[in-house]
Formats: sequence, C-alpha cells, structure tokens
Amino acid sequence: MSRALLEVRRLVKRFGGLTVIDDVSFSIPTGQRTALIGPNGAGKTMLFNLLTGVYPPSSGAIFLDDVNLTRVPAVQRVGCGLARTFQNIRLVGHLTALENVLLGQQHRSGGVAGALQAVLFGSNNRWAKEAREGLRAASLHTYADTLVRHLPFGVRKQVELVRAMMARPKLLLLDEPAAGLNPAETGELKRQLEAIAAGGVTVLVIEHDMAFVGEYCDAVIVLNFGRKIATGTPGEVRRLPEVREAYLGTEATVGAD
Amino acid sequence: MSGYAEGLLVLLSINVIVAYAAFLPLAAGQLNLGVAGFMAIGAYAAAFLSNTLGWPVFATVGCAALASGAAGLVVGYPVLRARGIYLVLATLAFGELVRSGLLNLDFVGGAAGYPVSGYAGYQAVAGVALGVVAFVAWLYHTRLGLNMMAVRDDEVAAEQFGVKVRNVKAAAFAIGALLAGIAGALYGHHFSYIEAQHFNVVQSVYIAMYVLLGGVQTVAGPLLGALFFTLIPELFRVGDTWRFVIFAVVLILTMVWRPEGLVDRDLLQRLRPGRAR
Repeated sequence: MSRALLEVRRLVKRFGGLTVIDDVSFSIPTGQRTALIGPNGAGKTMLFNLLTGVYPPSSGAIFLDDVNLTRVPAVQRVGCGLARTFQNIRLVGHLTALENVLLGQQHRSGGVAGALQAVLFGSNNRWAKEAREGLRAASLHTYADTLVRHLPFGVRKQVELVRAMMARPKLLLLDEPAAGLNPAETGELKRQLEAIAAGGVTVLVIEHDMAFVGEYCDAVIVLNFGRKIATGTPGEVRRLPEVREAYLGTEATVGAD
Repeated sequence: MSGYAEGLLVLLSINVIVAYAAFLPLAAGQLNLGVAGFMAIGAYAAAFLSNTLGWPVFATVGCAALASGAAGLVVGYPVLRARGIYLVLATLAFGELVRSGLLNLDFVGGAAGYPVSGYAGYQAVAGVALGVVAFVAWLYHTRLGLNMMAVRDDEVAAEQFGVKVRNVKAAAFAIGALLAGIAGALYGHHFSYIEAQHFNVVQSVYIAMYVLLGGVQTVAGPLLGALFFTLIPELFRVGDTWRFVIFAVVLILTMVWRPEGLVDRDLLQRLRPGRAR
C-alpha cells in the first residue's frame, strides 16, 4: 500500500436543485480494498457513475493513476484502467456467457481491424481462448455456451465479474456483488475477490453486508445524503455513533443492552 | 426454369438482400424505415451509369453500393442522434425525400420512369443474394457484430466497456444502406425499368417487417422473414382477392405467438446438436 491510485477531489453532482453528491473527497492507495457503504439513496451508485463517466460531475476532479479523468469521455475510461459491475446485472440476455465476457476485452481489441475479427459462435482465436480461460478460472466454463438469460442469478453475477476482469482494470468497481447470493455463492465470490486482490487489482466495493465488508475490506468510506460522513477501518467505522445512526441504527439498538 | 419460378427467385433474392439492409441497423437497435430510399439511390445510380456511360453490370452495381453506402453514412451520422420514434420518423422522411426528389429529376426520367440498359439474369441476382447472406453471417461473427448486439441491448453498459456506440450504429446503418443499394441496382438491371414510385414508404415498411417477423437476434431470422413474405402470398394465390387478408392474419398470429420473431437464439441453441445449454 503506497501512493493513491484513485483520488477524488471535492466531487459535486447536482440535478437542478438536488445535490446528490456533495463535496466528496477521498483517495484509495494502490492495492487497498475499500468498501463504500451508506443507506439507500446515499449516492453510492451515483459516485460509481461519476467515476466511470455515465454522468459528468457538476464540479470537482477525479484522478486515476495521476491521470485526470474528469473530462475523459465514458467510452475511454475503461482504457484508463477502470472496470465495473452493476447493481442490477447488465449482461446481454440473448448472448451466451462467453459472448458477454468477450465484451470485457473491447477496449484492448484495437480499432477497425479488431472490430472485423471473428470472435463469436465457435471462433477459437486468442480472444475466445482468453475469455474461455477467464470463465474456467471462475469455475464457470460449463456455462460458457449457455444464454445468459437462462443462468441462475448468482452465476450471472459471477459472469459480470469475469467480464469486468477481462478489461484488465487497475481499479475494479463492484456494485453490491454479494446482494442476493446464497452463502455458498458468497463463499465463492470471496474466493474470487481474494484472487483478484492478490493479482494486484485495487477494489472499491459497494456492499450492505457488513460481515462481508468486515472480512474482505481494509477500509470503509461512509456516505449519507451524498456527503462523506466517515472513513476508517471496518472496526472503527462500526463504532462511530454517526454511522450507527445513519446506517446501522437498528443493529445498534439490538446490541445496545 | 419456368418464367414464373425465375421471377419468384429474383423477387426472393432481392427481398433477402433488402431484409439484411434493414436487419443490420435493427441488430444495433435502430429501425430504418427509409430502406426503399437507399434502394432507389442504388437503382438510379446503377441505371444512370449503365445508360450514359455503358458500364458493365458488375461495375454499376459496385458503384451503386458505394453511392448508397456513402449516403447511409452521411445521413446516418446526424440522424442517429435521434432516438426511438424520432429516428424512425427521420429515416421515413429521408426515404420520401429521395422518392420525391427522383420524381422531379428529369434527366433520369422523372415521373415517366427510367429504362435500364444493362441486364442481370436471375442467376446473377440469386448469386449476389447468396453472397450477401454469407457476408452478413461473417459480419455477425465479428466483434462489430458483438458490439451491435450489445448496443441494442444496453447502450450505457456497452459504452462502459469501451464500445463506441455512435460509430457502431453508424456502421450498421451505412452497411445496411449499402446492401439496399445493391438490391435496388439488381432490381433495375433485372426488370430493365425503374420508377421512383416503386421505392415508397409501403416498401420500406414491408422490408422492416421481414426482419421483425423473422427475428432480429440471428442471421437466419431475416432470411426466414423474407422467405415467408415472398412465398406465403404466392401460396395463397388460390383465393386471389383474399390472399393479403389471409396473409395479414397469419402475420398477426405469428407476432402473437413469437413476439421476438420466428427465429431467436433460444431456438438455434436448441437445434444445435451436442452443445451444452
């Protein structure tokens, strides 16, 4: 853990009179696993959308590996080292798992010549091989040729993770990866995330499952009403009264006596 | 081959080509209701080169393809900023613009129509149609094909992975326009006569229906749609005046039964032997 990989400076996002991200600054050192927590509507997914360029910020700046991303178009940000998954899985349902994973390689595929390279339906060039290998590493190879819409929820989430890793990101943004998974699937997810972190990828994860956060993450950023209200280790953050009040309130009352 | 069978084969071949002309933009999520306009550009370009410069048919068809493809690129880039119903209206307006423009261009016959000197036999037309099927099948296997499907499904997610959404849409639209130009040129060279009125909105709507009926998920879809639209009305010729009514009923029932079109990926996966599902 050394210098900052991601640096967010005084980020603000307003829609008309509504401020959804309000003066948020933080930095994430290379290799750190950071959780982004907060109640529903706190602005967590919005922050991801600002990082990946779905929306431009109203003010503030984003630096990834010392490159100013703030004005870089969304389509180019994956090439700067940023890949993500989505809260509501966004795979192409009528394509197979393998074909969806191929999409993760897009920014490395190289211009017009790359666009005209056959990759689908039984192609066996290096792109297809690499995608198959990615699925195999996540023990998903048996699903490679199944249409995504027929896959169980937990498997689809894993396919989305493999697709994001195909982009070979420096910073991986995960939007509630454990939500809706059964305990076995959560175990498998942890194994995969450990492997990803061991590979040197920095992870920023939105997650409500505090047990998961406590086990997997080194640091926590807490958002509430678009503002950053706390940072620290999972243990520290759990003890802060303002965090309990905003986010863990019910749990705190149960444990209070 | 009887004259009737030859005529039917030519009609089928041309319908297959225009079906793919509508399919490519649809595969990227764009409904083009101006396909007949691009056909007209191809038909008139080929006829003009053939009549005035005496070029051989293969050269006029090639140039016609380039002309309509270029028109597709020029029109597509600005028009594809529009979305949904507005894009549909813009392409529809473009088709009408071409038709009414040609109607007023006297050097290509105006309202009287335009005879075409070079002749393309049914073998040539069918051969080109086969080539177009092979070309689209190949295109659909490429990363561009993958990008088109990704864009149709979810533009934002595709862009997050580096898909240049606008370029992909424009490419699909322009290549589709190029195919429409080939179809128009072959139509003129085979029937030896073209008139602007033929390339009207009803044509464009029919062409779009080939694809919507056949299905936008696979290369087999438009092929089947074109077959269906060309052959079914012929089969119903027995009750001549009623045949389009019967045809319309069959069409509605099909869309109720298979809203995604006759052929989709599910069906193809099921037909593929020995594949893990």
